[in-house]
Amino acid sequence: MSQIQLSGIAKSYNEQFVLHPITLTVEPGEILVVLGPSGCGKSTLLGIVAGLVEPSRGQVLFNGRSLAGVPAERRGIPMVFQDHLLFPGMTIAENIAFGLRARGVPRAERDDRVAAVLAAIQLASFGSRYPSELSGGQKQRVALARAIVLRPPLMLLDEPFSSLDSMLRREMRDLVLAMRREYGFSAIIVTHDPQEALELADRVAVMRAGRVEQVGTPEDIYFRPCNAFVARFLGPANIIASESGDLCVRPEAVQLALTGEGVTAHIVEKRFSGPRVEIVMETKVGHLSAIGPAHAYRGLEIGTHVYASWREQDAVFLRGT
Amino acid sequence: MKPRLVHFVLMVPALLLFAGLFGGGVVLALVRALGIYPAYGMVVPTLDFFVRATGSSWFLPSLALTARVATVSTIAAVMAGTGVAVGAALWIRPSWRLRIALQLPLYLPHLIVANMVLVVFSQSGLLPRLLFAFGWISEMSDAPPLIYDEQGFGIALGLALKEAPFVAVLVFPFAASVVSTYGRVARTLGARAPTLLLRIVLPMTWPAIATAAVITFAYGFSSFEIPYVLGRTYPRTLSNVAYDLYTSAEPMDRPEAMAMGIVIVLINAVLAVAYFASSRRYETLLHHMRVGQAA
Amino acid sequence: MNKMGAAVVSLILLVLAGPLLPLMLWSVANRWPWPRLLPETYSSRSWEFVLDRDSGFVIGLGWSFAIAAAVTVIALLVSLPIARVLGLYRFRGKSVIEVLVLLPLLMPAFVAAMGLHETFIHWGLTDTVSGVILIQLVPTMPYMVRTLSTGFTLIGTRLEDQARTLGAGSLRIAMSVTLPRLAHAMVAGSTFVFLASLGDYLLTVLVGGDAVPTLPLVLFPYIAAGDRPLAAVGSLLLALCPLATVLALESALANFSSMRANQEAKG
Repeated sequence: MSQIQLSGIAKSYNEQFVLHPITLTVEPGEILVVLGPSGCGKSTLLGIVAGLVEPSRGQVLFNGRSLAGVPAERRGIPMVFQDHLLFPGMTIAENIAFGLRARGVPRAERDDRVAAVLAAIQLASFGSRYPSELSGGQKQRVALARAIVLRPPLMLLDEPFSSLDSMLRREMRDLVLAMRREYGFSAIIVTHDPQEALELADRVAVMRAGRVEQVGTPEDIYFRPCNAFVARFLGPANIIASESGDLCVRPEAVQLALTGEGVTAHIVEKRFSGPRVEIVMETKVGHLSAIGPAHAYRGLEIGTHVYASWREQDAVFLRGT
Repeated sequence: MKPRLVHFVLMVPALLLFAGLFGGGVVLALVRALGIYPAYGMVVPTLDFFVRATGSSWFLPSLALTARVATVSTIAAVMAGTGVAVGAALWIRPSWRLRIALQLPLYLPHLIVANMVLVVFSQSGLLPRLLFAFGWISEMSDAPPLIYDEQGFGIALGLALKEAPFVAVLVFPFAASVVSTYGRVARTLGARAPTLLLRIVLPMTWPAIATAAVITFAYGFSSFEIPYVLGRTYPRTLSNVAYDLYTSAEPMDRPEAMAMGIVIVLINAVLAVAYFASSRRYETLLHHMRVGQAA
Repeated sequence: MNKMGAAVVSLILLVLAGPLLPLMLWSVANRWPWPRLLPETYSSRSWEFVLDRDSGFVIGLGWSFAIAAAVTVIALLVSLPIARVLGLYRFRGKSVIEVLVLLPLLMPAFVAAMGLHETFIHWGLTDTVSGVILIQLVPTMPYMVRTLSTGFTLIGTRLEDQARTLGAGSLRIAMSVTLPRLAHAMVAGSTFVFLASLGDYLLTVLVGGDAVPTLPLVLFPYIAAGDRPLAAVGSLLLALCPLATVLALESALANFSSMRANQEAKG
């Protein structure tokens, strides 16, 4: 049985639908990432699972039992927010112990569990400090710990790393995966960063304007996007129109050669970004991008005529819009 | 940011008003209280009037009454106002209608509030009539003398009714802000209403509550209209005494009235110090709120 | 809204509407002896008396309105500059000025009124409307300054600075950028000042005396004398103004805010 089942969840404010009926599942131990641009309703969806927002339609089932009428504080599903919201008047240890104390866990056990999770996030000696003394990354780690210490079966994370720089974000991603290995929770993570989604998720649900466009494993949605929106949201994509429909080819699958078969193109731009180079070309089917390591494109400059080709299995027909 | 000269110039009209009207007024009152009355040929400062004001037999009972009603009404107003503000923040969805409802009693003039208390709580008022209808009392004189009583209960009640909305209005924005941010996190961590209240909302809105309490006490201490309508002939609150002295036919009562006024000002000055001490934390709270709004 | 919310709302309504009900009953009561819960006979003569021009109530309301409006406008104009400086800038001596500005809030204004009385006599300000307006500024301006300066702090200067880099002049910036965003604080401050002035008794009677018969001054003797019906009518009259003003202003503000929010969402 799925751990979380959202069936027909919809939310409207004053006749305006923010979420159209959505059906999703999360399996035990799985990380589902809800990915989408700002305003697509992903945070509202999370709020409904948390119990902070009431759905206008549909129901949420937790291990088969409906959560209708169960307030957030009784669901046992902790949530980590983008602004860490550590309680300023309490020490780090007290912050982490908060949920345990609310549950009536006796002091000795509380202290043990807090110490254990502090060590796991590598802030072992920080217990008696106050949130104002910590850096942004440290605070977010504590926010995570505050939820993990409850050993919840499911955790919710709302853009938890958006306010951190890219290096910290990578560290936090590793931390979440490590914690999941150690404590075995499932999680619904909301983000607008496709890279985060691809790296963290077991499955991704891509949302747009209150609807789920596609659900699948990272490879699924990356290599077999169902429409142009999903394709482009996950990364640069070449969308080529043809009579049989729109074709999507990832730039890293495009091969360039000075001779041979393929689409004729001439290079209009060459962009260097460290480990890879992007070549933008003009062809009779429109602009085309190719991405590869720098050495693969040595000798290719702006104005060069090339032939672009790709393997058939790397091209996908987009079913929808 | 540092202001330029033009900014200082722009402040002048307001500063003139404050310094001139208020500062000047108090200084003049002090001068008169010290017995300097050129028109009557009195030019030597003296503390006689202060002695007369504070030494007479009615001073201490008046002081006690004033302090008592201020304290009681402040406690009641803070508890009620905070209760309503926090309750509204926790359980009612914010809307402009809610804000208005909280503010309305605030805007009722003192006279009206005094009259309302009179109409409901006096011995021939609505409350005794209800008690009679329930059979709990049989004569008008059996009704508890809530107004015109020695303890000043009626005054305290009137003051509390006027002040509680002020506390609620002051505390509500902070309570609402805390509930919508930290409150949400706490709820997902399993905190039920009592925990939310005691460990999150109250501690974090405490500076606002403290500031409101100080202002409320200062206000209750120097309030005039409500004690005037709801109080007895004796003892009267300090502000009422000062007014009576000032408007009496005896010209030499005037300096005594001023002395009384200065005494009230001094006591309020102590409270002002307390206010400024507590308001520093209030300002930090305001700053956090602003940052929270921006985020 | 759940049960607790309903309870809180009921409590608020009880405290608000509760006392008004007996006042309304008294205003239409002819005979209402103890221990009846409702008046024995009703009559409209109290209302007729009050609304009659000769009774002084309606004229008093007019006086009160006019004075309150004047006080509000003056307070607003004088407070805006200083509130701006206090809200946005830091400078040496700022705390001193802040204390000076806030002090009248905590101090009994009537002491200043007593002290100023003779000076006012000298300047011919006693028994005049101008005198009353001046003295009413004392307890009300601190509140206006405080509300406005908090408003300034909350809105910051980002938008104004941007407008300045686009070449807009100071006055233009003030009118089209700053003031609309300050609307909320201005309404809050103005409402308080207006209503504080409307309901004031002590300062008006000290400085204006019988020459400036605002509604509270007309009403007071009836309350003191225990004339319940007339006092009730006068009280309702005096109470209705704040209620109506606040409702009108706040709903206008709510519409204004949502209008601007829509504009900003589109823009």
